[in-house]
Amino acid sequence: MLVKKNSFYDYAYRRFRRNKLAIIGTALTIIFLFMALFAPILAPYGPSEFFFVEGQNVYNKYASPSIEHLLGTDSLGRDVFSRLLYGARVTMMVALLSVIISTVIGTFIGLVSGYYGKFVDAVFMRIVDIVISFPVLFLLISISTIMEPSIWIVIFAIGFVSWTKTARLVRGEVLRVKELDYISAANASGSSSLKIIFKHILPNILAPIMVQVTIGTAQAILMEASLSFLGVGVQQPTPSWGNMLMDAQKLLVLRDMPWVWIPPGMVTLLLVLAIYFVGDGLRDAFDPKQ
Amino acid sequence: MKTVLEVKDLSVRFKTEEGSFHAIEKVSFDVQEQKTLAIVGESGSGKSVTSLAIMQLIAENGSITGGEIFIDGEDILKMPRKQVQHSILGKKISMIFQEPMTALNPILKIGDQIMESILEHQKMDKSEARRIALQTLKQVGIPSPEQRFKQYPHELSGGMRQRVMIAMGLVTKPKIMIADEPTTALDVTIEAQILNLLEELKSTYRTSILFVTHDLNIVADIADDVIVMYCGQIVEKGPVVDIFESPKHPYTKGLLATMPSLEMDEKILPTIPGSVPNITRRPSGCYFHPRCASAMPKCAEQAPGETLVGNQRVRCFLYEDGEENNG
Repeated sequence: MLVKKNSFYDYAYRRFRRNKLAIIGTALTIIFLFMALFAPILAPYGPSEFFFVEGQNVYNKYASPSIEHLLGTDSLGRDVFSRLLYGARVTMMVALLSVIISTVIGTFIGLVSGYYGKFVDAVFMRIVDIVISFPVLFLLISISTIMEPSIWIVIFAIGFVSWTKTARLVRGEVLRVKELDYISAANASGSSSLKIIFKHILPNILAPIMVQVTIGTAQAILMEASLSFLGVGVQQPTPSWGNMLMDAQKLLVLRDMPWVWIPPGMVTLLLVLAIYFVGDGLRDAFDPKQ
Repeated sequence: MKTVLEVKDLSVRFKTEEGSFHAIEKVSFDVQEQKTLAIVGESGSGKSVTSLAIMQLIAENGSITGGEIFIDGEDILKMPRKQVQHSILGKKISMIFQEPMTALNPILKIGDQIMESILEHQKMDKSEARRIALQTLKQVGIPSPEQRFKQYPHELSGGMRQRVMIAMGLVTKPKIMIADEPTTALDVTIEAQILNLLEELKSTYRTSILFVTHDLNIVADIADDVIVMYCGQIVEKGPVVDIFESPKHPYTKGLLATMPSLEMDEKILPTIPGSVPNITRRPSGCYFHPRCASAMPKCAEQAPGETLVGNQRVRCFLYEDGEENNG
């Protein structure tokens, strides 16, 4: 016999499944994930493999698409298609890890702030104000000049500047939920604050956090792209979709060699769009008024 | 007879934009083993604040400013918070809320919520807790408890949810259970069932009940003793029979007169003139004097103390000498 599960999340799942755009978004995201995961198998060449013009000691720069190089080669004679696949790994890893960081920090601060209120809340919310006011770009440029640039700096930097949204969202949700009767009931049955926060409040506000995670992932991808495009993000020779777009800063490339920048730009756009669709789908699925 | 709950001179103060006000003042009463004490009063009389103060659930802008609360002989206001959570709340005293629709955690299964109440206070393995939870569900009259165990609150009706709440409250076998208008949100037939259930469980579980309500019919039905509250003070308390037979305080008399009965001829329900004054604008002297038909000049000047009249304690100048004086 088929057991119909009836938790809040089972209902949400059924609603999500009926949303076509959300399903398309999910499918697309999964395809991109597979691309990233199996890059070494799918890619015809290594990400930093240089190609030379036949018989000469010259890089085969900006070769137009051919059977050999499906999407041509870039400014250093590397295969664009292979770099695109390996770039997916880097881009998605940066996005996911930074979202994990921002979600953990944001959720923790939001929970503590909302639950304990008063002084704790005032202090944390001022910290949020300060972080929001940080000029991210200058911060990153100065960090990358002081420190050896690495992918981890990009991850932590994006995570560190984007937890504020989650913190505010979670704080608001906690303020709403903690006034509900079942929280009073938990208090009345002698549950400790920690138990109330993690067993009663957090599971009940997971839905908006999940929506925020998807939207945050999309924004992290964009942020990585723009940072790398400006040269303060992921550094060469590591490929990322953002730094592949750097070549487009040259007018000649932008005008005459679209195969160099259209593919990374296109996949960035597609992936961000797909993730937004998933986020919208989740939001609608979690909305009890639907 | 053993006293399970004793409240002495309990005062609760709330800070508001307009200043700081006492929601309840020097409230004292006690509940004996296996007895039901009802607190009655209009909205804003302080009856809910009293029960919330006992459960340590006063909102952030309020605080207990004085008094003692003894549960099973221990003053919980002098205990460290951790100890109150661990050995009093949910164990010796539990509470049933007014709204069964919102008092259960929507994303936890019924069974898990009841088991949690058990495991919070007793060390036992899960299968044992499960057995007790199922047994309690059966006792509160939930059909096919095995199946309900795995369901979520939204799959149950209001009456069923209130039964689950009662099961959660009883599962630790508390000395006393506070029921804050537990039937207000239910329809009348379900209300009767729940009240019968409470009566029945009171003797099975040997627990006392502190029943907060504004419904005098329920009081007459289930209470042993009654407290009548007005503006944060107890104006009259005593055994239910005495209070219904011969109410002393003019407010109690007024309340009882408003009870509709089948023999009533009048087309219009009797009412007490005026309304409960706002907490920020309480009158001088006796808080009830502006609405009182028997008010005397001194009622506006000084606050009356409590006097014992027969079995009842009354806060009214009419009974200053221990009996009604018509001066």
